[in-house]
Amino acid sequence: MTRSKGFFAQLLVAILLSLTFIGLGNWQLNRAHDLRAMNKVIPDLPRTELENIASVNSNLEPSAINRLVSVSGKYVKTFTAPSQKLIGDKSSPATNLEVRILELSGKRGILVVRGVESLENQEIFGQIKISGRLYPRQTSDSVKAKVGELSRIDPALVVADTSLSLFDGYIVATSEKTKLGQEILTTRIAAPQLKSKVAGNYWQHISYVFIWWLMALLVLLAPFYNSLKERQSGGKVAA
Amino acid sequence: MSTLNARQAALNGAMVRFRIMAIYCGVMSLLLWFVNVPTHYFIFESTHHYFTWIALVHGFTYPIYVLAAFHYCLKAHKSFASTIIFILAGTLPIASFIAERRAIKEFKALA
Repeated sequence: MTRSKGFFAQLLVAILLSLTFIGLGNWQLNRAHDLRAMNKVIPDLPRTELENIASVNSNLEPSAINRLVSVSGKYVKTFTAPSQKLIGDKSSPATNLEVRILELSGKRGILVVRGVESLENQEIFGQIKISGRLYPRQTSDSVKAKVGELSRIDPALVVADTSLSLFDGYIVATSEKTKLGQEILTTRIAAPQLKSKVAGNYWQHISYVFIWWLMALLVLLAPFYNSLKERQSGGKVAA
Repeated sequence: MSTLNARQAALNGAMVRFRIMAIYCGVMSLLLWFVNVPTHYFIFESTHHYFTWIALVHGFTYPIYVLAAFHYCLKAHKSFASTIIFILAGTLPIASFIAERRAIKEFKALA
């Protein structure tokens, strides 16, 4: 049985499309595996000094995100971050958070989320030692900010308010101690590990894997479609 | 109940399977586009977790629609382009209902 050049051209296109669909299926499979890996609980590494894992005026390394850190300095400016969803709890009601700039030695600074904003502005003087978890800067606004407010927790928004060189990201404080070791009390927020977002859920991605691979199979059948039709009707049919 | 001619009888099984899957896929697509997607991205986002099953069930059953549509199109001697359109109809909310209506019309025309 001889085949025309057109048939081989169709076959070539079908193979290319089929490979593309197989690739898309594999991509969904990888996303499913990524999702499963990201939802695993990873044990925290030992607490470290902020300076050991990050530096000012440069992006946070992925390995620095979620690390438990400690840092010493003094608060120099206070902001409110209104209508913030608590980390790892999308269903939580929006809360106003208190965010301060902590000045470190060498004219450096970092944003610190102390906790839920309180009505009386707590005055904290002198050197304090903070323990907490390091998070990447927020990238989407939660609200339109007024004066003294931050629409998102992002050091880029406070650059004009300070002469300090800022670290990327921010710390959610789980503990603040004075130089004498006295704990400073406020209404803290939870500081869980941040989970990366991969849209969808595991089985949804797996279903897409099947769909893409099925499409790949169907596309491979395309050049033989007319032959299949002939077989169905028992004779030659029009294309 | 009217009797089927030989051509209709040969197509009947594939047609019924296609119709069932087209209606089912149409309903699932409506739920996906107008319940699952809006609650994921636009409104009542806190209720989205109630509707995650929609995408899952649609995802796993759409291949069955694809096979039913492919088999029907093959039996009905449709062109390859029509076959692709019938298969893709399962992804849009109203399209599979339209495809199902068209299949019935064509089936009746065989009488």
